[in-house]
Amino acid sequence: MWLIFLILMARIWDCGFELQSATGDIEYHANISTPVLSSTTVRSGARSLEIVSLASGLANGVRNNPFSAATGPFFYRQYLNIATMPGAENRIIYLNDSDNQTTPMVWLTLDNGGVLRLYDEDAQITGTTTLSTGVWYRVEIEYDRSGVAGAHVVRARVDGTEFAGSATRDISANVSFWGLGGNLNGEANTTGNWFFDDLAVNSSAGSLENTYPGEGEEIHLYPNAAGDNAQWTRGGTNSGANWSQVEEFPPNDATDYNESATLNQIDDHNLDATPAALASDDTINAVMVGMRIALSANTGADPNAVLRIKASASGTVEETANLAGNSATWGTHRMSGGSLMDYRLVLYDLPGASTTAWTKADLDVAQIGYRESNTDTDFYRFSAIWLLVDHKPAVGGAAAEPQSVMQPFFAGPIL
Amino acid sequence: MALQLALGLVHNQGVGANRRQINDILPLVVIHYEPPGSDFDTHVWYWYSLAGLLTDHEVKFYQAVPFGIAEPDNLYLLDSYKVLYAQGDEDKVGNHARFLNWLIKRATDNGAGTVIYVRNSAAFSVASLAAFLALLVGNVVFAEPPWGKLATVRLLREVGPLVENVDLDLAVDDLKIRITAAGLLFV
Repeated sequence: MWLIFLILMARIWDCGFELQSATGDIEYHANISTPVLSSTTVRSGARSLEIVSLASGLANGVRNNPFSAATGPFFYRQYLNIATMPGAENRIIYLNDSDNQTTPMVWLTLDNGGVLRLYDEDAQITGTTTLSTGVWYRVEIEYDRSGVAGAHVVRARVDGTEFAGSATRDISANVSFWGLGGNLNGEANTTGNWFFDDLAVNSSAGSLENTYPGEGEEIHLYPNAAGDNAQWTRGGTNSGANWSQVEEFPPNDATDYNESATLNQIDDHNLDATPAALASDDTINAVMVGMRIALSANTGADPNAVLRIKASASGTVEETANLAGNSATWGTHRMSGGSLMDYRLVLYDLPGASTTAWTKADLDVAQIGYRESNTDTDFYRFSAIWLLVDHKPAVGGAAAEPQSVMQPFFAGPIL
Repeated sequence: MALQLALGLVHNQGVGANRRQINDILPLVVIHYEPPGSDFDTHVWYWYSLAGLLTDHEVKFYQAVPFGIAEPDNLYLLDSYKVLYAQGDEDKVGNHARFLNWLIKRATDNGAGTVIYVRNSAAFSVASLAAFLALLVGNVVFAEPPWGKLATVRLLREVGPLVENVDLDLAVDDLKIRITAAGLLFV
């Protein structure tokens, strides 16, 4: 498969488990054992990742792959809510260079007293913090191997306050994978129950979202009506409209989809109204267009498509560069092969703008879609498309974190 | 790490000129294919560079189509991020400063460290680009070659975007004042 080189843009990947699938390669890369999703203990949206029913010696959780062997700096966010502490110190989060949870480079543990510890491959990094049950904590990690050995940076913080960190580490390899779960070091714990939600990862690129992600809640908006264009052909079961071929979650792949082999055919779809949990004065941190795609066959030169977004009907539209592919296997944000599932269209401000932030009102009339941008005899297919919205409640809002930390507009290291 | 470049065009000229500026850039586009990186990265990747630019670099392309302008019929021959201004942006015409603001912002959002605005493609050359890129060192965050503008992500972070209540040339004049006030430099 041909893919344009991934861009280490500011916000690289989000996951709130809102596609509502606990199957690997749908919303995240892979499962470690058999994690489940919760619909009762969620921080935002409708689902979270639940770690429960741990088996002795058996790691359980999920693996994600935001980068391919990159130095960073990268900034990871996960919200953690503990219902029951583990029976003893337990590895719950890790960063690694290879697609497994063994011998990671950086990790966090949680013990039976709620103490959170940060380690790298050489030692524990000084500092701890103690968590309580029944509280959503924002746990963030910085990984930076861009400097020379001995000047690598590993830091961790909870709700914006660093509890352990060092800028004098010597990490052996670049980072690729990010795992969350329990018993990730093969511990013998059989007690413990905790939840993860609202994952995000930033690089240091750009002028926004170039440091710790900070506070954010993640929701998905799905197509709910026809938009400005409906030119692709319905495939699989005909639901009667193009928008209703691509609104399912989890994605239903070949069951119903839209396809095109005609240059410049466009589908644009209106979206669900934003939920009440997204208030009119919320800050929209990022909007990200997600997609589930495949080709009808991988013969010949193969077609390309681009993603589109506009903030109002008939309004200014932005498009990505080509999203190329030559696989008939369904994939999220790319087709078969590989495990990088980064979002390909991420905006922090309105289409065509440079400083005007999205608002709830904009999202309520936004449209997302796709255009066939190169053709051959094979069809480009979309089985699902969605808009992930990462938003931050206004200070003092009902859902705001007690310690809200605003990100400075021009913060971050110089490239 | 390779220099991350973004090269942008604004189609605010006549039909023929808009088409021509794409044609001027296309011969400079070199595509590179990368083999799978490892057992978990089985894709074959491709990326672009500019022919003749010896600095280790990658480049991505951006195109802006102002309000009311017909898309050049070769718009899609250049694999690029695009904005097509439409209803609600009726004022985004001519030399509106928004176009350069959008280019700088979106390109840096997408990872660019240096943004190249080719305003006069006929005068553009890779040799001239290389010469001006070499000037973007230290506190130099903005350059004005005869064929366009160069801006760094540091410009956006520490000085901010161009004002948009005047046209591009006046907005650039204002930007230079702000660059100086911030203790930075332009050439």
